[in-house]
Amino acid sequence: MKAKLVSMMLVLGMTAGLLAGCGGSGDGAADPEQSASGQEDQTGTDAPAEGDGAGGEDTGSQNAGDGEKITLKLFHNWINVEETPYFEDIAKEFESTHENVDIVIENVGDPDYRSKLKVMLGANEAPDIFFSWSGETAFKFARAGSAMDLTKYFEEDSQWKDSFVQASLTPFEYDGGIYGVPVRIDCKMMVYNKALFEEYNVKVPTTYEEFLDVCETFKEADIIPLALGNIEPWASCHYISTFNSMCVPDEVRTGDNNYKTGTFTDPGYVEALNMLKELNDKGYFTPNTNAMDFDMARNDFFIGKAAMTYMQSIEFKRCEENNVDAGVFKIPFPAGAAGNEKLVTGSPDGFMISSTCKHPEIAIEFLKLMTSKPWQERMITQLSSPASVQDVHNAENSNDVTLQAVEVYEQADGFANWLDADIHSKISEIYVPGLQEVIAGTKTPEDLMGEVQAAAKQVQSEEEE
Amino acid sequence: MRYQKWYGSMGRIAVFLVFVLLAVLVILPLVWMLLSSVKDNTSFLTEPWSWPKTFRIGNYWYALKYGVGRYFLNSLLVTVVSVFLTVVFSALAAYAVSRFQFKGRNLVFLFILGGMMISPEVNLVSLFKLMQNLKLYNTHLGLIITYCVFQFSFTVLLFRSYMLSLPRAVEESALLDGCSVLKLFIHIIIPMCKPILASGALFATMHAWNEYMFATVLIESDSLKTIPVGLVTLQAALRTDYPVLISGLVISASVVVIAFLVFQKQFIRGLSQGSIKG
Amino acid sequence: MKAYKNKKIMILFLAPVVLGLLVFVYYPLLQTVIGSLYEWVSYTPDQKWVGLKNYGAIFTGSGFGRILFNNIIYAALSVVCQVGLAMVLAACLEELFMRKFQGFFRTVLFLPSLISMSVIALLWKCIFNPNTGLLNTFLMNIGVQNPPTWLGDANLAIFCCIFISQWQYVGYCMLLDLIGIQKIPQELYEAALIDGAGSVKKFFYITLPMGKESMLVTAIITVIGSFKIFTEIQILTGGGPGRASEVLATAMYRSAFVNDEMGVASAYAVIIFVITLVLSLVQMKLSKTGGEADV
Repeated sequence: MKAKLVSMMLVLGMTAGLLAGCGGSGDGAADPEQSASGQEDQTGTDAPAEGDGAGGEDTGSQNAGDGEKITLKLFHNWINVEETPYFEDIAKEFESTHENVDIVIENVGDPDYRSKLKVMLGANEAPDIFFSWSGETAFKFARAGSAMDLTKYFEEDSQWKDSFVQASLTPFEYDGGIYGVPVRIDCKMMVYNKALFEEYNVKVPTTYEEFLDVCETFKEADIIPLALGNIEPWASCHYISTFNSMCVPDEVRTGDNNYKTGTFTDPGYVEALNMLKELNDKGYFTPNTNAMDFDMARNDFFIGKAAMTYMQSIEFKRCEENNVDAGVFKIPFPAGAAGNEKLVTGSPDGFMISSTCKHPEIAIEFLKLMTSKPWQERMITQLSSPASVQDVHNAENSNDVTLQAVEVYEQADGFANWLDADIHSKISEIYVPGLQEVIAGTKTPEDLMGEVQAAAKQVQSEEEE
Repeated sequence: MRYQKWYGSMGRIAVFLVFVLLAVLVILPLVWMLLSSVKDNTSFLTEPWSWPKTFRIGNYWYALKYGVGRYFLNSLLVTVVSVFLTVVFSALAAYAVSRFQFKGRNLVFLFILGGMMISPEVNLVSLFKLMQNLKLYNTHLGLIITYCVFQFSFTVLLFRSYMLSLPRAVEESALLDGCSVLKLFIHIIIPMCKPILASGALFATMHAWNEYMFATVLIESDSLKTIPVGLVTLQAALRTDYPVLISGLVISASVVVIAFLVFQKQFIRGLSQGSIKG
Repeated sequence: MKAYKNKKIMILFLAPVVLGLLVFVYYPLLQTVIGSLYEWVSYTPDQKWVGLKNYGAIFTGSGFGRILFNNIIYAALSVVCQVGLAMVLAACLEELFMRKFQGFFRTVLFLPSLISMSVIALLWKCIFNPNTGLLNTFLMNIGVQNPPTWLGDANLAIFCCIFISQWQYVGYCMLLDLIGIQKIPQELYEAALIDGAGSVKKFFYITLPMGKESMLVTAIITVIGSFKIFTEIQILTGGGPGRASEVLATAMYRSAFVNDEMGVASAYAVIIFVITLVLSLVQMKLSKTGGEADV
């Protein structure tokens, strides 16, 4: 018996030894691969592959070892071909003035960004600086202690704090602290094709009835009134974000968005769903919208097959790229609705600093560079994203559409945040895909809101436990 | 009798037509993919059935430039390394369980086989956590290990039954001559097993080249993505430029298809040796 | 054979596979089972013991019936096509009059299985597009009014995904069956021919009985595969519209990486595990590959 035990121990010991050996040789095998993959790719995006290893080890002990090389990991979702160089350039400039700092940039596309980010924050390799939407998305990180309270940095530098469009800071405020640095303002506007409006002698609508009339005119002319591809339901969710802000009283809506107090019992929610349903049932959306790719539908607008499309301001430059002479308007407020007319659907987007960041002061410096006028201007001209900083937009650096949008949100009371970013994920899990079913007619607005209410109740009871 | 003959030939024609129909069903989308890849966006969207008016070969350059080239090399790297490791390690283990005499051999074999019963999907969440802790998250090595371990069980099983069927005479005389086990393995066993190693490699290749779920969860940097995930990313990054996306699809599909057409004979021989669904 | 008793070498040979499985398959499995009993999110280390509540939430959830239905219909149709249809096709190709074309059809029908599912899914997503896709423009041209919206139709979405899966794999299964048929001793067929048996009779009295066992194994492997299905659903519909095409694996992915319910995700994983484990045991029993029959 004893002999058996001893031999088992031996086996264990040896296997452990082997494991170590194995791991070693495995690493060795991987290294040349990594550098090989680095070589074939000269764009500079290979940096993460190598920087990552360093990033993992730099924490603490290594710091003292070889100089004070500081690695900051930045994680964002601006993956379009024009957007990635912006970050590379800004990192380069920052590194040129901060010789000991290495900015490592990682990015991932939108549908996966949220999930990836959460996962990374749970890992030991959380990014130091990461992109986040405002509202509940940001609050969640604040609540879980994954994001750092940045209030003191704003207080220290009041000039910096005052430079922002003030309304853009509010959606990052949680429990008395500011948790994010807004870098751009993303809002939703109805974009229309000026040539088509002229051709059919249509004027920009000022009331909701006129808006419906405009849609009807185009529908009769066999032009898609509103391009919408809803195979991923966040597309229609943006409409609902707007309609909710129109139909539900402001305090009620913000109360509902907080999962601790949310009930979603206001009749305005059903009304909003009915407005969405009406647009579809009357044939104003792209036909078969639930089966249409978002971008494929968008393309109908660019090639003149659709007259209008509900667009985020960060996409406005695509009108120019596709040679569409476009104008924007806010969807007119339906007469007598209970909501706040002076809200703009959208939110500031920004960057948060993770609570595990070892050098928050450097991260802040980086974000200050990003929100400095020259870089904000470059963001406007290159990416045509509206700036979060005041007084940078002008006729030279911004296109007409953006300027009009800036004008609209500067006059607004504030933002009605994206519904899916603003409510608890267990509620949006019911609410958002349900929009497809409401559009398809397989679920009534009342039924959907019933389910949403039940989900809200459940979230509350779970949190109370 | 004459009636029967007529009936029979009708049946034959019907069978033939069914096959033609199936072949069209397979070829049409592939040809359409090829043609669409050189169209411009507008004609792609407005006239999906038309012959391309201009051949925009540039779509391919664009696709390669915006990542497909890199994704392709990543896939190649991950596939080659993981297939190599899978085959080598599985052969070693299969050799051990088929030749060595030791207590608990059956237990060890069952342990290895048990891996087949655990589908990769089940381990997604915890494997992901584990990879993070081992600092293998977002590395090719992590992906390679994953592809290996989930292919081990099947491959060992495949190799073992082949090794059991090998004649022992050569080994025995080699061992009597004082040849070491390692040498025996490398110089005698491996050459004898070549056909089955090839089929094992084949299954591992198909698995590693096409895998999507782990590749999407375990890799995060764009520069490390493999083709199946990279193409989905590309779709998001390119927004409306569908022909470019389709060029990317063509690039990734054509390599395997061409390789198959060239090596068809070996391929089917491999399949017939390990005729189990992978 | 003293050399074959050398424990050191034996362990050395076994170590990579055994350790690999231990660390990256069995250990995570244990973690999954444990994780399914807690409530936890990926971005904080806190875990709260909830017992079987996660399972309760899944079983009582409104979508679970649909999810199970989708997986089962997926399995059923895959068996019909990849086992039944593939076998019939293979037998047809082995018929004398088809031999000339065998190589061509075999190659063509096999091609899709070489292409990665994500490529196929993206391709068919374009084809299924209701307004500009290949399929509907064709249907409209031949005069079909209001063709279906395919992926946008709650009732059709799952069947579109199933179709694509069959499109990819029927040729592959057919090839395997073809190889199997070619292994059947030719004398049997010759004898049947002398007895005056027609093609249909040959199929039912020789091909099927001889291939029965391998078909059974293929059937179970296909069913197991159907409970793990993920890629095509995730890319084509993401489980939509609504939740109409959700399957176990996409539900798990959603819980884990969208809804921050790692415990629920783990519970889904355990459910997948139990289903596939039972099926695998059945398969091993039937195919005897797991037993010691050939030692």
